[in-house]
Amino acid sequence: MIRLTGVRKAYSDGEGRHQVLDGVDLEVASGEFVAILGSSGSGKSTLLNIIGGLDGDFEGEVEVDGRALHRLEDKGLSRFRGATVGFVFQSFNLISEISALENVGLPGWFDRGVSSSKASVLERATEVLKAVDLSSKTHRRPDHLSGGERQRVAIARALFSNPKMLLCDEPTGNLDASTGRDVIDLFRVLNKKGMTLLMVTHEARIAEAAGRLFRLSDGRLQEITDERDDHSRLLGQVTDEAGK
Amino acid sequence: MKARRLLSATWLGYRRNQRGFLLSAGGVAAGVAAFVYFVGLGQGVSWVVGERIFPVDTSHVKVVPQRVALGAFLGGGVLDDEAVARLSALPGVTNAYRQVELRVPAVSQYSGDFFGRRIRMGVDILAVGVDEEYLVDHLPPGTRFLDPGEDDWIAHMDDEEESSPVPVVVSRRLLELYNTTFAPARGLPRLDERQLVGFRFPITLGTSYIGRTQRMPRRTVMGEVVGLSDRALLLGITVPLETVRRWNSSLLTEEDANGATYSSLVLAADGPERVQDIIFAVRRAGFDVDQTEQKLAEEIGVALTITTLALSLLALVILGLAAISIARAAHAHVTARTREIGVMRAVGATRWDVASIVLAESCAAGLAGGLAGLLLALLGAWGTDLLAARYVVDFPFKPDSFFIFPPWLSVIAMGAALLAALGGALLPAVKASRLDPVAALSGG
Repeated sequence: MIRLTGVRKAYSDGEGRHQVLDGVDLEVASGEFVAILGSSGSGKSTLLNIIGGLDGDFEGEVEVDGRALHRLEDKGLSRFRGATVGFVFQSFNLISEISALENVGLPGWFDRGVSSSKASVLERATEVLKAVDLSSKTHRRPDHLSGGERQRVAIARALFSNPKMLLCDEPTGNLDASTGRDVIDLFRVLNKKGMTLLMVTHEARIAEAAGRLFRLSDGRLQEITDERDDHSRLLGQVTDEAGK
Repeated sequence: MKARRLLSATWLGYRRNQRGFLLSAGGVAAGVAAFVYFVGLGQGVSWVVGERIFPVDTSHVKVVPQRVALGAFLGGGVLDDEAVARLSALPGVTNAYRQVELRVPAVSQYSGDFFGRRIRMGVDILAVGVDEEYLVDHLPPGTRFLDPGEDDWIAHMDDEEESSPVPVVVSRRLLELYNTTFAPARGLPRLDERQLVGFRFPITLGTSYIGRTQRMPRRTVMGEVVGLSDRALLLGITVPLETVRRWNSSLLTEEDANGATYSSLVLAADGPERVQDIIFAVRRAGFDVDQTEQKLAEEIGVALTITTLALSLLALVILGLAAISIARAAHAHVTARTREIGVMRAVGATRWDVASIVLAESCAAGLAGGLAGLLLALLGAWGTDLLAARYVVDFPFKPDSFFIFPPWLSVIAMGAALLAALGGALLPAVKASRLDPVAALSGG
């Protein structure tokens, strides 16, 4: 499903060149739930953006769902994003002036398929809102929803195009612990239904929900094994770094 | 992106930025309204000048003898039958109409009922005789425009039943001048064309109220208005050619009557494009061309065109300012929506999708502004006409409406509105389309 080989990415700022990703290799199979842990600024969001086709400026090879993203132009990447991935962001990124239903149907604007009529868009948006248990609040604007509800609207929007995988960037970062757990439970349900999930977070407790764990540090990706001691130690280390 | 979706996106844009939309549309409306109003005014006034004040037939050339008759040495200068034959045979000439001026003084002394008002009045009269064919198409069907012969002489007004009146054609412009200046000043009734046809009045030849006249016998004839035409003499009457020739020869010596020559000759070209060639040929033949009315009409037309262009330019400047306003509004809107654009890109929008949304929103403002501008211009024209009708005194050729709005004007105005909208939104659209999705998602 996802294969990264020698992915490198550097930023230049006033203090010089900063190598965020320094030869990242990763393989994720279809249906997996993978979490990537890392401290703030470690490059985990950058990695997620590269996998999701939002960032096409990198070195190395990225293949997702059989498509070589490193060879795609902007238009190809747009089509790829629309058809293959769904993004869930920490800050929800909902449009406050329109209803939950219209927010969820936003990808339908850019759907080139024959089923992008207004009726089918509304039908699909209603369906996914029901799937995230928000069918009673379809016409509410984001301002009138709680944080957890907003994130569920954002997840519904990500699910609208029936993507093959969800890419979640700190999905619980703006939620309280209880609401965060609800969102993670929703991810588990989706994963059980066959959805591939790739989540980046700095919260070790949240990351534990994933089937496989990776740690991104100094631009390199390291898998955290299943052995509980190592697992806990690494989680603790990541959590400590995040807290610094 | 499908058109219907683009409409949805545009509607969303409007809901989110109504103030910016209204400001943009308002600017376009002002520009379009000014443009349509001024061009419509120019068209309307030009029509009055061209069709009513100077109804110049662009296919006609009026030939007159040279003022300094050097042409006589070249075989030209005198408009006699031989010259008429030569000029009629020029390439491109389809018809030739002879004209003779009345060379004796004449007055009309009217005493009696004048359309319900009893009057006693005398005026000097100018007259010209023309070929029947020159006017026949301009007169009501069945109208006789022929010399009545010697039977036209009458001794006094009461003889009119026994005489054959001379058919008279009057200029429509003369009737307009009468209705708007003469009649109100003298307290006379205003007349329309139908009232005037059939009106009889005496014409006394051989006398004048203006200056002294040489001694000559006086003759009185009865004239009857048989129709009105723009081709008739402006400040005088137009009668059959043979009538004037007969009057001239009966009251003047043979030398003075100059009976075998004509005052002018109107050549009809087979198209306006042939007129210049005919004018050159006429001048080569030793004659002059009377272009007084054409030149006056052209000069006024040029002045009107320049004025209209200047005002239209002003309107286009307003549209240009509207485009700048649209650019600013679109730029601000794009900046405010940076994160939203990032979301659109994340869910599959291409650069063109994003640009087309920005352009569509501005186009909607342009269209709305254009339509509002058209409406404003029509309202402005209606109001102007209303005010002119109520508060501007009647003057000759005062039209019912000062405006003409041809369909092409609306098309050009809407095109200009769209162009201003697109021009203004172009750079913001490019900026929006080039936003890096990752940077946009983090707020710019």
